[in-house]
Parts: sequence; C-alpha cells; structure tokens
Amino acid sequence: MITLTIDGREVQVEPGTLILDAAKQAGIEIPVFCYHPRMDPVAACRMCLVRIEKMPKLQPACATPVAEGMVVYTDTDEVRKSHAGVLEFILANHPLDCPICDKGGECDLQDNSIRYGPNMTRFADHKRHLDKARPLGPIVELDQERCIQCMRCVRFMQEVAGDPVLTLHDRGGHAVVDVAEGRTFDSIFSGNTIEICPVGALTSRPFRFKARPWDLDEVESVCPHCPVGCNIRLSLRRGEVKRILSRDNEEIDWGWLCDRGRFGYGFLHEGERLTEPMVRRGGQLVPVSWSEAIAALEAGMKGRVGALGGGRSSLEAQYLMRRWMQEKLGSQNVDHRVMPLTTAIAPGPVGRIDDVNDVDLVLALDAELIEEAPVFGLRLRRFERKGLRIVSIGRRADLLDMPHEDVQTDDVARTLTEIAQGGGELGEAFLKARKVLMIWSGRGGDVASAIEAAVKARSGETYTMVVGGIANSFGAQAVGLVPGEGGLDARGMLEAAGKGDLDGLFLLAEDLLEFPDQGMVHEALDRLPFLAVAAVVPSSATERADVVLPLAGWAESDGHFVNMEGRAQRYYSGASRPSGVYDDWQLMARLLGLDWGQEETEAAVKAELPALFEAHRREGGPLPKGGYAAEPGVEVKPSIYKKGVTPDPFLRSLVPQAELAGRAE
Amino acid sequence: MPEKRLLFKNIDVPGIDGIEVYEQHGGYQSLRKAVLDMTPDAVLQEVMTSNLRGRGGAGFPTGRKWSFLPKDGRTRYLVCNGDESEPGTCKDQEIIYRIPHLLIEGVLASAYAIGAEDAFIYLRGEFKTGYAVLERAIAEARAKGYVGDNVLGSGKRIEITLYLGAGAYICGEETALLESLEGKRGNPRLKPPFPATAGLYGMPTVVNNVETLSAVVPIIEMGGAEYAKLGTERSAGTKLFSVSGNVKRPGNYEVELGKVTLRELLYDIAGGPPDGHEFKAVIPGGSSVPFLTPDTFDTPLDYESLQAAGTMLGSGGVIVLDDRACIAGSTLRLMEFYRHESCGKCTPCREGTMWLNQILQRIESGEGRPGDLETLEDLCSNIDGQTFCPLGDAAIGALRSGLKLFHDEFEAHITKGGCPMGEVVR
Repeated sequence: MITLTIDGREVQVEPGTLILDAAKQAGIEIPVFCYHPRMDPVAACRMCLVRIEKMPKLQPACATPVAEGMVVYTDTDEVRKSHAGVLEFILANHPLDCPICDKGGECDLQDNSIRYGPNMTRFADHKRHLDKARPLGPIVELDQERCIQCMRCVRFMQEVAGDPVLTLHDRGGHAVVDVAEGRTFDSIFSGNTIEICPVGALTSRPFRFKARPWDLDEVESVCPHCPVGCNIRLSLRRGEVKRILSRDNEEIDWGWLCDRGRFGYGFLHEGERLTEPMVRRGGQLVPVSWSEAIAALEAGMKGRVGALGGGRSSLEAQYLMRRWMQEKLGSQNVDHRVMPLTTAIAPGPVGRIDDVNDVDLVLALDAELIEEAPVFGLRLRRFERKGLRIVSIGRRADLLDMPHEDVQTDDVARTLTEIAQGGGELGEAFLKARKVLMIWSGRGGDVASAIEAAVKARSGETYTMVVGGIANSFGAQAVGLVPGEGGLDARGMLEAAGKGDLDGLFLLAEDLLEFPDQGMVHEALDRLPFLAVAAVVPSSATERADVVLPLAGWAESDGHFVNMEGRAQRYYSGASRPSGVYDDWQLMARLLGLDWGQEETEAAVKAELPALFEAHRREGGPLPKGGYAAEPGVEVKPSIYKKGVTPDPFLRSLVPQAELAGRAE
Repeated sequence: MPEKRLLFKNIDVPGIDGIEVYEQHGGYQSLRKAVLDMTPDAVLQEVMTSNLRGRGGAGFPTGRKWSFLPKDGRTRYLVCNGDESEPGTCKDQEIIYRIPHLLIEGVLASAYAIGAEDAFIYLRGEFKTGYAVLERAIAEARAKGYVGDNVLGSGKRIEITLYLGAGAYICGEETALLESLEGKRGNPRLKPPFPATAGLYGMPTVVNNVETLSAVVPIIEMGGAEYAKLGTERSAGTKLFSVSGNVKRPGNYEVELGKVTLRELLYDIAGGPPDGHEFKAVIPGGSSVPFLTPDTFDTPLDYESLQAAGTMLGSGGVIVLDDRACIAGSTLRLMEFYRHESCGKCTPCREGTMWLNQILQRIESGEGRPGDLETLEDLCSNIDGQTFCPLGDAAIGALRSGLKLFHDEFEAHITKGGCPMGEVVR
C-alpha cells in the first residue's frame, strides 16, 4: 500500500492508483470531463489539474499515479483558479442552449460550472458556429457546438468497441467529432457514446427532445435481450419507458450496453399489444374475462399435453410452470429450448463473466458474441488488448468481432477433444494453462460431451459458459423446464403434434419462430387440437391460438432473470401496463391454484435453488447440472447483425434509412 | 568574435550536396571512424563528453537522452526531427538542402551509437524539395555502402527511411511526430512513458533534431573533449542562429555558444538595422520565446545567459523588429499562427488561442475595450503551464512579454482606437 496526503488527509491506496481515484476513496472530489473510469486516461480536458509538492507545474489527477509520501492539494487558490480558467475556456464557445438540451439537469458541464466555474464570463467575442443536428447514424445525432472535445466517444469506439468509426476532423478550435469518411455510425454499441458524453453533444434520436431528465422516474431493471443480464435503469415518464441507461456492474457489464438492450423497449408502448384474454369461438378470437379464458385453457389442456417456452419469462413463472405441468397436468413434456440450443447450462463448472479478468486462455466454441452476448464481448476485447489469448473454434472464421486466433472446423467436438488430449501447441497450452474459460454456443450434444471430457482432462480451474440462450434460458433449465422422465423435448412435441399424437400445447412467451425447422412448426400447429399462448405481443402463434392470455412486459412486472453465469437478478416494475394483462407468475400461480405473489414465489425458488441467488460467490452451492440430449449439433443461427447494416428490424424502424441518407447530405 | 563554422565548414563549397565533393572534403570519415574503429558505446561516450545539447529547442543533453534507452534487447529506433516549423527558424532546412550528407552521416553514426538498425528522417510537409534532395543523397550513400545491410563492410545494418509529414507545427513535438510517423493524427501523447521506453511503434526510440545529429559528425571527428572546449562549460559547441526580419544581412549563422552577444550577432554578423532605423525588439529563440529589448542586447548567446535574461535560446530563430514594427500587430500575427496550429487536444490551448486571437484582433483594428489587457494577461496565466504539451506555453511567450515590455503601446491601441504605428507592419 502507498500512503499519500491529499488536502491534509492521509490516504492509503494500492500502488498504481491514480490521484483522482485515491482522492475519491478519501471522499475528495476532483472535477473531470475527459476521464472515464472504464477507459485509459488522456489528460486532455485539463479540468482535474492539482498541485503536487515538488512538481513544477499543476498535474492532471486523472493520469498521475500516486507515489509514496506524495503531497497533493486539490483546493488551493491556484487550483481553484485553474478549475475556473478551464471552465471559462470551455464555456467561451459553448452554445449555452441548456433550456432545450437533452442533457440539461444531468450535465457534467452544468454541474462543474456550478461548483467550480467562474460566476460570469469575460468572453464578449464571437462564438463558434457549427452543425447543431448532425445525424451520425440511425441512433446518434451530434450537436457539434455543444461538444467539448473530451473524446470519450471517439475513445470508446476505438478502445472499447474496437471499431474506430468516430474520429476528430480538423484541428484546434475547428476540431469536430464526426464519423470517419465513408462510414455511418452503425455500431451496435453506438448508444454508449450518448450515455458517456459529458454534455449534450451526442443525443439519442429516439429520446431527443422527448423529456427533461428531472421529469423522469428511474427504476432498476435487468436487460431482457440476451443471457449476459446487463444491469439497466428504466427512465420513465408517466409510466412510459423513455430511455434505458446502464447501471454499472463491475462483475457483469462495466456500465456498457448494446443498442439492442438500450433501445429494445419499443414493443411495450409503440407496437400492437395483447390487452385482454381471448378465446376462439366460431373460428374467431373473441375477448373474454380472465375466468372464462382460464376455464377454456383448463378444458383444452387435457390428455397428451405439453408446454414450450419460458426462456423470456421470470424465474418465478418458470418455476410455477414446471410445477403446473408436473403437479396439475401430470405431464413430463416441457421444454424451454425452442431455439437452436442443446443446453443453457454448461456441463462442468459454470464460469463467471469476470473470470475473463484472470484467465490465461479463452476457447470460444461456435460462439458468435456480437450477436449472442455483445457486452460480454467488450470485456473479452479489453483483456485481449492486454494479451489474453482467445481462440475461436467454429465453422466460420469470423465469429468473434475482435482480434483472435481461429481454428476453423466442421466438427467442433472432435477438434476440442484433440485439444484436450494435448494435441498441437494449442493442446499443450490448454493443458498447461492455470485457468481456462470456455464460451460455448450451447449447441450440439457431442460438443457438450467433449466439454465435459476436456474439463476432466485439465488439472487447473476450467469454467464454461453458454452464450447461445436468451435472457432466462439458464433459469428455465435450472428450475426444470426440460423434459422429465419419458417426456418429450421441443422437437418431440412438435413431431408428435404433427402426427396427431398431442392433444394440447401451451406456449409461455414463445412464438416458435426461432425453432430451426419451421415446416415442422406449421405441421404441428395445423394438426394440434388445442393451442394456448400466453404472450406480451401478438404473433403468428397467438393468431393460431385457441386461448390467448395477455402478459405484462418485463418493464411492467417484477421478477428475476438468471444470466449465463447462473446469477439470478431482480428486475422491478415501473412502466404502467394495459389494464387487462397479468404478470407471468401471476398467471402461472393462478393455474396452479396458489394465491402467491412474486415474493412467495421467489421464496419458494430460493428454497429449492439457493445457488442461483449466490452465484456471485464462488463458494456458493453448486449450480444445477445441465441436462442435455446427446443429439448432434443443430444449425447455427443466421446472423442478425451484419457489418454496415443497421442492427435489427426494430432499430431499423426507428429511422427510415432513406430519410437518414437524405439528412446526411 | 566572428562565426565559428563546424557544421557549415564546407557549406559554400560548390557541389557539396553531392557525395563525391562531400567525400573530397572529409565527408563520411566520422562514420568510417565510428563504425570501423569504435564500439557503439565509445561513440556514445564521445557524445556524452562533448556536452552536446539538443538543438531543437529544449536543450536536453543528447548523450543523456541516448543513455535512457533500456537495455532490454528490444528493437530500437532513431528518429530525426526535421519538422522545423518554428517561425523564424530555417537552420535545419539549410543543412538538408545544402549539405544533406552531413545529416545522413550524423544519422548513421548516431544510429550506430544507440544500436538502431532503422533510422527515420521526418520532414515537415512543406519540405518537398528537401525530401527530393535527401532521397537522392541517401541513394548516393547507399551506392557507396554507407547505408544498407552492410555498412562499410562492418556487417552492421542501418537503414534510413524518409517521411514527409502533412504540415503541422505540433509534429515538431516529439510524441506528436511519432504519432504522425505511425500514420496517425499528429497529436501529442501522454507521458510517461517517454519515447526512450515506448516510442515509435511502442519501441525504445531516440528523437533528435537535424542540427543535433549533424553535430555528431564533428564531435566524432575532433573528439568529444575538443568539442566541449568550444562554447561555455554548460553550453558547449557551436549553434546555428537564423536571423530574420529587420536586419541588413538576414541569414543562418553558426557561432560558438556564449562567445557572441546578441548585439554582436545583430550588428557585426547580420549587419545591423536597415539604414535610418533602430532595433526595437528581438525574439531570440523562435516565435515561442519572450522578447528582448535593446537594453539587454549584451546578453551572450547561450542557454543559461538567455534564460537569466528572461527568455530562451530555443531553436535559435532570431526574429528582429525595428522601430517601424507594431508589437500588438506582431503578437497578433504570432497568435494567428498558434491558433491555426493548436491541435485541439487540450482545452486551454484550443480555446485560449482562439480567444486571445479574437481580443488581439480587436485591439489591433481599433476595437479594443478597457479591461482587454488585463483579460489578455489573465487568460495567459490560465494557459501557462496548464496545457497538455508545450504548445500552449509557446503561444503566450511573446504576447506576455510584449504586454509587459510594451504595455503603453497596447494601451495606446485601445485609447486611440487604432494602431498608433499607422499602417500595420507585420
């Protein structure tokens, strides 16, 4: 430990700590603009200058590491003059259009000005005039006048996302941030630049001029779009989600989000919603009361029945659905794996996201991170820059969007087996490494067996995570939404239905569109005598259903998602919901005849699976083992994200591409 | 004392830019001596002993800079800083254009001394002719076996790469130069790490000025101890001064450091002021340093004496103003340069130069307001020592001293509502 003195206070910190962070630990605030805790310091804005004894000039606290016996002053006349001086310089050319600025009320420039700024300016000359509304891409719009050249956005794209699409054009007082020539800001991480912009320069096109920050309510939530489980905040106005911000979790997301997570809330308020229960009568779906709908459901789910889905539902609902199937309907036909997925829980010890911080070797097995677990990819990239060896083993050579080694193979299982037997340089490295992390798509029983064997072949720590599931696939599998003794899996149920061997099917938040064999789905749905669907939004499945049960969206409901490391994370309701919908667990509890709320269900799951709630601790109980069918690999999912194309259909709908092209001119 | 020519010894010999004539006048003997008769360490030792200091502006001891390279077996690079963009400075240009083999010999001998197989000569974007001259000279040197895989049959490989920048003042700053050389935007880097440990492409790198590397040639020839006898104890050797502005004989002059006063340089060597005029002020070290006025002209030209007089030796660019010059107008002209050349990375330099420029413009055009001079001085104090790299300090050097030495003249601009000198002389 290093001891130094800051403003007369003795502080003890780890060697290598920056003065800024040491001061923070001592409760002393030093103002910053360009500094960001998740990026390398650049010391460009000069806001954080402090006086250090024995140094000739003021030094940037954000880039100066502590030294034994160092004496630092952050609040002398000289330092205060420097603070005020830098702020006066920044404000000289700032447009001061705070009344109409999206950042007003949560702006670092406003906050620093109040606390450290001069109370008036001497600037009485001409301000710089630049582009006030420059669309950089489908999501981000730049106000060049507000920009203070802190370069956070440029550095984020270069350093964190590894795609230097933003650059600084021109120099000196004419320097402006813009997209690189011939590019558009189409990164799936573009939204992060809006959040880390210390002023209102980078604005979100969906949020621009929609609300004042101080009018927004904030609710803690968890992203429902992939198995990483990034922590988020919902910003709500009158019960409507207006934007989503990050909630920095050191162990999971480091405060980053992908655009799917940040902007993937439109379905709650904008598209069509299911708002009341419906029952098919005379070939038409007609609105009915909940009691009638549930009676119709119970009447239909008789005989040879099954249930599919649940990967998007709360852990509470998943748990109750398993009990409903087993206890009430006496069926073992239940499966959450309706997308190409063999298992959501890796065989062998399950890894943690922050295992990346200290592993020696990462093997990515058929994993396409940019699509399956984008924000997890950012952590991998960070450590790749520091020298972490990443080897991708898969059918294609470009599965990882970061520098890595490639082993191209049609047989991932066999290649992994050869590596685990010590074959080649990679095999030796694999066996010798102190700690290894495997990242797997979760597809292919043969790969699962190979992973199990590979873990046994090593003496050091070896962990595996499955990235190919959805938000709560892990939870679904953990509580047992997989076929029981003699039960049918997803394919089995659809096959049986297609042959007329299934009497009723229940879909929980599932539309079957991701099932690899759509022909089989159509046949099954055509011949099924009874189909009940509980869902948030209409789909081809609800159109075909005999009973439709409307659910609340995740932002309108409470519950837990279990991410790919087996960590149950609580999300809270905030958005107001259509009056006719149920929480997913509310519906399942009613079907099970229980008068339970979210808390009672949570308590029951906790009692059965305490490990899910302790997954952040290594010493927590063992996570549930993943059951898997030993069938060979299924088709790799088609890629949604293609370089140069706006991420996904809903994002594309935000701004018509034609309009964008027109405005860019 | 007149000129003392070491680097410029043969500069007036016709055809000295060609290798044959250069060789006939003793050219490449220092390289021969270094590579064939001396160990790299011995060469470094001679440079150490010579007390040679960096001629680019900062005056850091060259031998010490070389000795900072870590002995860790990593590839090392030598980079020659030929960005010479300090206004009023044109000495490196003279070497490059007229006696290119001196520079090439110096680069080769220095690369040998520090153990670099690859040397880079970075030229400012405007030196297109210099690029062609050096390109031809390097080809000549290669044909003679001085450059390439087997220098003078010693088995040593030393390669020289020429690089033309895109024309930015900031690229004279060594870390910005390295960025530019790597093909990136020329912005200064955060230090530490210094180039000696992580320079070009992250490898240990020495960056030296054209004049500095050229001086290595006479140092090897005469020995470090003999060179150290020239000049003063702390300012050893000779230095090139570029005298420009209101003098009869502007030009590049080589003199012994500390043995010639500014007055001697201006009157005896450069011929004094134009007839009918008197000197008013001089910037002795390139546009970045404070003014001297005639009452301090007896200051000897060496690092220490000029510093004691409140200014700096800098690059040796002596800019001379006579009694026709408007100081406010001159400082405005300089501020326009710095505003244009600020890279924009840090706040005080980017915004400060823009703001200072606007105020000076108003003052010079007769729209100055009461309080402007106080604001100028205070803005300078908010830039001083607070910018990311020395460009900010450079931008305010002349203005600050001008405000102090010629306060009345600035004041008169405001009270008279225009330039008291009449037509603006810049």
